[in-house]
Amino acid sequence: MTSPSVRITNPRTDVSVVKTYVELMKLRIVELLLITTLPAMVAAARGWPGWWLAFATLVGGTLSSAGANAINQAIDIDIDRVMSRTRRRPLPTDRVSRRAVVVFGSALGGAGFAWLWATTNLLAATLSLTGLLLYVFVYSLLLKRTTTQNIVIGGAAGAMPALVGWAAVTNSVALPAWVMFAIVFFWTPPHFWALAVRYRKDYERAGVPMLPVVVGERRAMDHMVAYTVTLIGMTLLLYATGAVGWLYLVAAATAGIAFLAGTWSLRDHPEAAMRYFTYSNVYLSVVFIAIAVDVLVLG
Amino acid sequence: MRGTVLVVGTVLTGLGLAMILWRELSGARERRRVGAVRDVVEVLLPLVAAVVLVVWVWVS
Repeated sequence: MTSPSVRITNPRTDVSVVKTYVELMKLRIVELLLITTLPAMVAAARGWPGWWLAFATLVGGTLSSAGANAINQAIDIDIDRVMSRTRRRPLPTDRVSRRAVVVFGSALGGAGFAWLWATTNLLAATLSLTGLLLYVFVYSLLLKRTTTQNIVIGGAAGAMPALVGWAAVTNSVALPAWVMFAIVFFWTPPHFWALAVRYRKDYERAGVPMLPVVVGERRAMDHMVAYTVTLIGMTLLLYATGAVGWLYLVAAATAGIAFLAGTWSLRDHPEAAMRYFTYSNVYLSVVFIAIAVDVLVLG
Repeated sequence: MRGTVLVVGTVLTGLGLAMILWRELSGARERRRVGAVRDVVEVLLPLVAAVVLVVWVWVS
């Protein structure tokens, strides 16, 4: 007697499906984006912007960023398949279809826009959607595979939350918001080039022209020093706008000196790239938390 | 105090932008993966935007 053949191709539970979709949202990156949103709101409001507005803006920002992250993975599936860092993601492991991811990401992005428009204002919603479109069309589709400037120009997408936060409070985008945008923008290249130093072989195999792959680690690190000097200058200019006080200045200057020292020392210790990458996250968090604390404490 | 920080911030930003420009241009042949015009636009766009921002801070 032969038993009927049963094919179990991809056993999925409801929990694993939910986990897969949560994974597509890359919430750890979203977390960093939100760390720039809330201090921008505090600075714009010259104090606490209110629990509801803060909650509404962070929810909208999360939806938009998560949507962009999901769509990006649908675009980069061939790259993610060959990189050891990304090959366990949902798409390379065939846990979900590409079409489903595009629909999911678009739905999140659309929901983020609608939510922000309904709960804050049209300007904040439009800026958030602009960030998503920049990430998908400019960074992922136009720049990532073609130019060493990919992460430089693409950094504009990651810098949008500072503008969104400010706009959510004031329905405008004033000078301090643009300086915060510039801080994130000039922080982005050293941050991602450190990752590219660590995973240089991966990027090389995938054909992604990250700067350390194309010009070598040492010369890429010289670029990182140049961007870090500009970044520190921008953090000082934020103080000069009058949006923040001495508490911020002390924190930003101290963290900036430490960050520059780290960038410089990386030139002789490329093996410390991941530690530097982690520290760069801490650095940006310190600068933006200092903005919020300064405004809340000093008024 | 703010005036001093404005000057220091401007000097650092200007120095950093000059370093970026020098690095990008001196290594352009090796680094460039796109057409010359597109490369120049990609390199100059953020730098020009940063200069405009610095001028805006001074004017305000």
